[in-house]
This record gives sequence, structure tokens and C-alpha cells, in this order.
Amino acid sequence: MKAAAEREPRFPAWLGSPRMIAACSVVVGIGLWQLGYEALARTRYFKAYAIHHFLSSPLQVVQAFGELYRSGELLRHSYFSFLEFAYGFLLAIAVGIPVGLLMATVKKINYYLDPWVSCLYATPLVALAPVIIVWFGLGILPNSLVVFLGAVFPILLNTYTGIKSVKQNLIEVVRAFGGSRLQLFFKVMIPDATPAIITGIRLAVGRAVISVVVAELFGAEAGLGFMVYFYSQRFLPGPVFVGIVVLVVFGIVSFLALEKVQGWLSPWYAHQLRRAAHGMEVEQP
Amino acid sequence: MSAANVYRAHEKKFDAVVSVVLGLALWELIDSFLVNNPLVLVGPSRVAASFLSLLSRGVLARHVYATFTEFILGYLVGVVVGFGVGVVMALSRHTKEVLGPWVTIWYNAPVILLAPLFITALGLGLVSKMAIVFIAAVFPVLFNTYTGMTTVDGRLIEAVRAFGGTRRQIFFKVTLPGALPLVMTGLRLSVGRALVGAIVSEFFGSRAGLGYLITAASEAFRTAEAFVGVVLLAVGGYATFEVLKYAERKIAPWYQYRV
Repeated sequence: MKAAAEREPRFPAWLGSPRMIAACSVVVGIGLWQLGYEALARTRYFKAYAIHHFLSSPLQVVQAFGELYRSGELLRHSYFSFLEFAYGFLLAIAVGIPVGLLMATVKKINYYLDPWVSCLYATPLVALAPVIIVWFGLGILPNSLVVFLGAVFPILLNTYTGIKSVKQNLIEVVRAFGGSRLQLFFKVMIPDATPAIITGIRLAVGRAVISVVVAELFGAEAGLGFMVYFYSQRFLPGPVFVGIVVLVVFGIVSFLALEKVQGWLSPWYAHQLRRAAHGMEVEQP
Repeated sequence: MSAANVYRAHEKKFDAVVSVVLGLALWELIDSFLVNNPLVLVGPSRVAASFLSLLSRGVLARHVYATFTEFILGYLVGVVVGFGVGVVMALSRHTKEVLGPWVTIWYNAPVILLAPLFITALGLGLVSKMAIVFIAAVFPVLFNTYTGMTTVDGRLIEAVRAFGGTRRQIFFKVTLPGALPLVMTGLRLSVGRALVGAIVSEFFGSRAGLGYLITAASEAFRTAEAFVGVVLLAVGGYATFEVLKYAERKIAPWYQYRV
């Protein structure tokens, strides 16, 4: 007992907490990046390879952020990207969940749609972006469509799998006590499939963000992807990193928010969350 | 066996064939009777004709080869690095705590946005695309390896320990096999991301590849050629997916997909 009391910890406990280490890691990483950039700027390679045309330092990124923010450019582009994201994503939810439910409950529909769904799911559909833009021109509509295509299949497949893997004994209990089909559907199947559906939505966020950006890189008059492409064509890497940072923050915030939603809607699921949360994709059985 | 029985036994396959045939026929009919404008809509027959013409001119082989090389090289390096770092992070708490936040950031980052910078830095050729494919592919493998190794059933590890298993035995006989299903899932997730990385970086600047074919064709309003590219990508993506799914079933047959 005494020995334990004598051994003073070298650091206060909060300094060694995982959160603190994470924060330090980020700060140190950014510092190293800055130092590395400064060191590189002093070598002759910097000029010889025109490194400032594709590499930026954290300070320059902050500076670029300030300029883009003050000129109102950043807000305008973020607004457009967000609109495209929101339209496409909501449409993907509105289509993906019902079709997934139908496929899981009506065998014939599953048999007919399955070849198309599994093939389209495995296709990198952003490849369609140039064609879609030729069809619909520039603007919010074609870009939202690209987002829709990117986001709908993870949602659909996870809904399908969620419903398919509802525990059979739960279904049997409801049947045994004379539950109707509607009751079975709304009281058992939907709640039991909710975590899977939300996992699908979370996976879809990442794909949707990539889709927005790619569609805009291609053809757009505004949007974060457009902004990134515009500045990279002018060999100004600062704004490119600003775009990336904004999208990373958006991606992480929506990921965490959906995790919270998952916790509220299906608290019993928390213990399984760890495995499912980390980008684990659900597959058709 | 009567015809009805045969149908019932193979209902799923039969319906799939019917569905695909019907879908293609409908597409063809809409193309030739409703729209009939090769700039806008191209039916399967036009896509097929375009495919044959590209194939006979030897153009297609060049594009497929370029994309395939970018994809496979970047993907393989990504898998090796992702798996390695994932294992190290799972074994060492300190590494995990230091690298963790960066992995989370990069995993969520749309790395595709870096493509223009990579092309400026590394040129129009293979290396810049490989780098993008690598960054796109590495994080799903890393994340899933880490998660797989850290969520292995603790009771199994305790059992091995109780019977005097060494750390090495625990690693090779429990943790690694236990993590395999998730590692395979990571491999599969990476395929999609890597393909997108290859194609999109070709969109920006390249001299060959399916992404190049698609943009060049759609900018010249040769929609049929663009569709040839998309269809080939679909076939490639689907095939890789199925191969990995099959491998998954062979390597980790005890694992069932669960939500």
C-alpha cells in the first residue's frame, strides 16, 4: 500500500488521457508539416520542382481560409455543395429505404431487381458524371443526381440486409400471440433493422461527399469541388487544402451525428456498434 | 421433372436472366423508338457496336491496360501498408493513440480532391494515379484490420492463455484468424474506392485509361463510347467484388455476415 502511494505519477492523469494524446498528435503533426515545409522551402529543390505549386503549409492554408471566408467565396461554394448533397442524399434515402424494404419482403421483386442492384452497387458510378453532365447541363440537378447514384445503393442494400436478418424467434413470438402482418412489420422488422439502415446511411455519407466533389470538379459554376479545381488549375494549393479540411469536418461531424442518432433510435444496439461502426459494410447474404 | 418444377428449382436465376433481358430490351426500344438521338441516349446495340469498333482498333486494350495497372499497383501497395499499419496499431496502444486521429481524418477525407495536386506534382502518367489509388485504398483496409483485431472475442484469447499459449501463438492462432473476415471486408471496400480513385484521377489529366476514354468521349458527344467505358468498369468492379466474396467464404467460412 505504502509503495503504491510513494510512486508519484510523472504526469497528471489528464495529460495521458487518449483525448489529450490525440489532440497532441494532431498539433504535433501539423507543426511537423509546417517545419518540413519551411525546411523544404530553403532547399534548392523547392524552386527546381516548383513545389509551391502543389504543396502548401498549414499557415498558408489558414491564410487561404481567411481570404476565401472574407470574400464570401467559401460560404457560397459550401452552400452550393451542401444543396447538391442534401437533395441527392434525401432522394437516396427516400428511394433506397422503400426499395430495400420491398426487396426484402417481396421475393419476386428481389429476384428481378437483384442483378441490377448488385451490378450497379459494384460499379464506380461517379464514372457516369461526365455523361450525366452532358445530358443535364451544368447546375444543381445533374450534380444531385450523381450524389443520388453514389448514395442510394449502400442504403438500399443495408435496408435489405437489416430486414432479412431480423431474428426469427422475435417474428415467431409475434405470430404466436396473433400479431397481424402490419404489427409484425412495424413493431419487429422496422425497429430491428434500424441500426443496419443507419449504418447504410452512414456509409452513404462518405460516398455522397465524394460524388458531390467529383461532379463539381467536372462541370459546375460553384461548389467546393469547383473551387478546388479552379485553384488547382492556377497552381494555388492553399484553397485546395481548405476545401479538403471543410469536407473532412463535414464528414466527421455527420458521421458522429449519425452515430448519436443510431444510439437514440436503437440503444440496445450500442454493444454491437463497435464492430459495425468502423466502415464495415453490410453485404447481401 | 416437369417444366414448372425446373422453373421453381431455378427461379432466382431464371428471374435474373429475364430481368436483365427485359431491361436491355426496354432500353433498346426506348432508344430506337422514343428518343432516337445517339447524342443523348445509346441503346445496348449502339454500345455493343461501339465496343467492337474500339476493340478492333486496339484502342480499348490500351485504355483497359492503363487503368488496370494503376488500379492493381496502387491497390496492392495500399493493402500491404494498410494491413501492416492496422496490425501495428492493434498491437501497440501508443501507436494507436498517436496515429488514431490522423487515420480518422484521412479515412473521412475525400482524398480525390488531392488528385489535381498529385497530377501537378507527379505528372500525367502512372505514378500520380497510383498514389491516388493507394491513398483511397489504404484506409478501409487499415481501419478494418484494426477493428477486426481489437474486437476478437476476449474469451478465446483467455482460453489460449489459460492453456499456456504464448503471445505469438495468440497472435497467429486467435487474433489474426479472428480478424480475417473484417480484413476481407476492408479489401472489398477498398476495391470500390480504389476504382473511383483511378477513374477520377484520369478525368483530370491523363493520356490513357477508361476514365480518359469516358471524358474524351462524352466531351465529343460520343456517348456510346463513354458507355463502353462505364460498362467495362461495371464488369470489372463486379468481377473483383465476386472474387473477393468467394475468397472470403473460402478463407473465413465460419463467419456470417451480421449487421
